[in-house]
Amino acid sequence: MLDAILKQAGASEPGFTRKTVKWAITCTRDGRYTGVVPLAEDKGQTFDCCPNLSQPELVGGDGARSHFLSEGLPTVALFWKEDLDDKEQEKFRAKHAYFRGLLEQAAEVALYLKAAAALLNDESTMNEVRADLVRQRAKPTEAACFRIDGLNPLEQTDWHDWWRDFRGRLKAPKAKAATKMRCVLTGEVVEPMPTHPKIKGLAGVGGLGTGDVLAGFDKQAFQSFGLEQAANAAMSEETATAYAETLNRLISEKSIKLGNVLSVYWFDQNIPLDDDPLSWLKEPEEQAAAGAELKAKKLLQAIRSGQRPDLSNNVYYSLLLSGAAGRVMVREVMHGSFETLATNTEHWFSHLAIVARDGKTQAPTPKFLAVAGSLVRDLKDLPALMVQHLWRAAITGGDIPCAALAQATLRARIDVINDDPASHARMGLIKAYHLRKGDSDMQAHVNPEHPNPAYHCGRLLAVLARLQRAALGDVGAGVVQRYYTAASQTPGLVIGRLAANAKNHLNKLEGGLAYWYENQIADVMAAMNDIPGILTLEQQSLFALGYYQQLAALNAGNKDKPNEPEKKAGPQPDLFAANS
Amino acid sequence: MRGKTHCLEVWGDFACFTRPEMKVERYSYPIITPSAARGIFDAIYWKKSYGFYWQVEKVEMLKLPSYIALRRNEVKDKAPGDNVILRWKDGRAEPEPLWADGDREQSGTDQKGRTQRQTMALKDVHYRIHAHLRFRDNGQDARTFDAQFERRAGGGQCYYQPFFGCREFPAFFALADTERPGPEPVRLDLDLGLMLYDVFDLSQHNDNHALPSISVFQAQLRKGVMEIPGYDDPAVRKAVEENIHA
Repeated sequence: MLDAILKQAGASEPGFTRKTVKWAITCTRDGRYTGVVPLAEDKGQTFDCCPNLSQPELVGGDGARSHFLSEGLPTVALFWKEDLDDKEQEKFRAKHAYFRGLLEQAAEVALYLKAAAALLNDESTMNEVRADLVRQRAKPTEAACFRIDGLNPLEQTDWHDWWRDFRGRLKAPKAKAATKMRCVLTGEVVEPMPTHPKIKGLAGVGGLGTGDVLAGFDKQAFQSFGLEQAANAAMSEETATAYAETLNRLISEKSIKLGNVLSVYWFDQNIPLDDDPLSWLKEPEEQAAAGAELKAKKLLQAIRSGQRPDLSNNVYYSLLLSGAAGRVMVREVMHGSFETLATNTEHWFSHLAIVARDGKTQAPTPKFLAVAGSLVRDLKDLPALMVQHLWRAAITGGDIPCAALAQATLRARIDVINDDPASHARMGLIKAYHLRKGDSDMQAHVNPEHPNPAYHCGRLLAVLARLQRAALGDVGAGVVQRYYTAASQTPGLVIGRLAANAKNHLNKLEGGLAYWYENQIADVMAAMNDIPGILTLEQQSLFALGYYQQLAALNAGNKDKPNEPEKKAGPQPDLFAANS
Repeated sequence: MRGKTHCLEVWGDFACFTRPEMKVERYSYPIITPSAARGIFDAIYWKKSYGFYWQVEKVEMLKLPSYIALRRNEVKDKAPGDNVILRWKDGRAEPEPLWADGDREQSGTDQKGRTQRQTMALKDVHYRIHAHLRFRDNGQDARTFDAQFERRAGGGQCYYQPFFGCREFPAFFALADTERPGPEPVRLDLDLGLMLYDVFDLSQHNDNHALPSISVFQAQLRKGVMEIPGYDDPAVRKAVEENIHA
C-alpha cells in the first residue's frame, strides 16, 4: 500500500513539509511594521516547502525549540488567550526566543530576514501586532509567517541550504556506526529511521490533532526479533518523509469523510474532477434523474470506444483510514482499473435507482452518506464497519452486507409505524441488495410479476391501507400502524384477517371505487401462489419494498380509477379495529 | 544440494501475514509470505542439527482473499526470555509478573497493561505450497529426509501446530496427492510490490538466538500462482550487513 503512495510522491525532502498558514505579519525591509493580513480565506494559504522539524528534533535539545519561518501565533507573536497558565506562557516565550534566534542566524544568508528578526525584538511593535490580531479575530491556534516588502520568505529558496545544514547539526553524533537494513518499501539498503513522521488530518475520525503514526513500535509487544522502534519496518528518513508527506497531501486533497472513517483515494494518473467517479459517490449531480449514473455510462462508452485512452490504462487506489489512540488504522485497501471503477459506480447508482414516493418520477441519485445514513437514526450512530462494507460494495461491486439489509428493514418498519415518509436511499439499498443477490425480477417500479409472495404481501398491505383511507379518511393509527409489523413477519397469521375486514371498507365506498379497489386486491392476490406463514429477513425486506413500490404506484394515480370522495376523520367507527 | 519438491495443501479459517509497515494496527498481505509458508513446513519437519532449510518454490492461491476486521485487547509488553525465567527459578532474581491490566497510575508506565488493537486478517484461506529441502552442508542423503517428511506429512504429524502468520490462526495441512489433481488456482493477477521474504538469513545455521536479517523480493501473483525465487537468487534482496544488530 505504501509503495503505491510513494508512486504519487512529488519532491519531498526531510526537514521540509507542506503547511497552511493563515496570517502574514508584514513589514518593510528596514523593519517597519505595516500590519497583519490574512493570506487567504478559510484556513489560509498552503506552502509546499516550509521548514519543519520532526517531533524528536523539536524536543531533543536542552531548551524549547520551534520551527523556522512559520509557527503558531503564540510562538511568533506571543499571542494567546488571557487565561493561559504561567507555565505555558513561559514555554511559548522560550519558543519565541528560539524562533527569533533562527531568523537572526538565517539573516546571514537571506538578508531580508533581518527585518523580521528586528520586528520581533521590538516590544512596542509586538504590542501593535497583537492588537491587530485581536482586531482581526485571529485564533491562537492559527499559524503566521512574514511578508517583507511583498516577499514571503516561505516562497524563497535562498535559505534552504542554511536550513539543511542547521538541521543536520541538531542531530547528536552517533557513538557507533549505524546499522543498515533493507528498506521494506524501496528495497534499498538504508539506515532505518527510529520514528516515522506523523500523518495529519485524521482528527475527525478518531485521530489526534497533532497527528498519528502509521508505522510505530513504541510498545515491546509490537517489536519483533530484537529490533527496536521503527527498525521493525526499516525505512530511510527520505522514504518515510515521502510517504508521510504524500499521504498527508492525499488526505487534504483527496479524501471523503464517511462517518467515522476517512476514505482516501487517488489515481495512478491524475484525472479532472469531472471524471472522478468517487467524487460522484460523495456528491452526485442532480441535473437529471440518475445524473451520476448517466455520467458513468458516458465515461464508460468513451473509454470503450477509445475516445478516452488516457483513462483506459488508469488505476485507482482507495484506503479507508481511522485514528486509534495516536495510530493510523488502515481498515481497507482497494485498487483496480479505472474502467472497473466506472463500471461499478454505474452499477451502484443503477442498482439504487428507485421510484420516488410520488410514483411519477425516479428518486434523485443519492449520495453515499445518505445511503449509509439511512440505516441509522442519527449519522453519529453509524458504525465504521458498516461504512467500510458499504464503501467496498459501492466501489468494488460486491454484495451489500446482510447487516445493512437488517438495519434497512428495521428502519423502514419504524418509518411506516411512525407514519414518516420512506427514505428513497434506504429503499434503493434494499432493492440493490436483492439485485446483487441475483434477483433479476427486481425493478425500480412495482413489479406485478415478481415471483416472491412476500413482495406481494407488502403490496397487498399497501392496497388495504389505501382502501381504509378511502373508506374512512384519516383515522389516526390505521391498519398499517397496527398491523405492519405483524404482517411483515407473519403474514400467514394476519393477511387473511385483513383481507376479510377489507369487505367492510369496500361496503363504505361508492360502487365504482369499491369495484376498482376490489380489482386491485384481486390482482395482487392473483400474483401470490400462497401466503407464507413466517418471513425470513430477506423476505421481510421484500415485503417492505413491495409495500413501498405499491404505495408509490397508488400515489402516481391510475387513469382507470374513479375519483375518490373526500373523506374526513369523523365519528365513524374503525371497522378494522372493531373486527379484529 | 536439494531434495525433491513436496507439495502441501494448507487451509484454515483465519490468517494474518502482517505487512511490516503495518504491524501495530496489523494489516495482512493478501497471500501467504515465503517465511510463513516455510514455517508450516518447519512445523512438520525440521531439525537444527541436520543443517537444512525449506526453500519454498511457489504458492498457489486456491481461494480468493477476503479480509475480516478483528479487534482485540492485547498486552503491551512481552513475556520474559528463557534466561530471565531461569534466574527466577534459581532464586537469583525476584519473579516479576506480566502486567495484563492496570493503567499508567498503577504501573507507573504506559508500556504495560492492555491496549486495543485492530487486525485486518484474511478469512477462509486455502493454498497449495511447493517446497524442497536445501542443505547447507554437503554429504547429506536427501532421500532419507524426503521420505521422513512424506511419512510425517502423510500421517498428519507435526512438531507443533502449523499456523498462518500468527499462532492463534491454526493451519491444517495435507500432503497433496500427485495422482489426483486438486482444485485449480483462482484466476487472479496482483502486483504485490516488495514482499517480506524472510526475517532470518537462511544460509546460516539458525537457532533460538539467531539475529534478524530482513530480505525482500518483488512479489507477483499471476493466474493465482506466486513464484518465489530461491534464497540465493539475486532477485531476493537480502540485508547487506554482515552483522545485523551486533
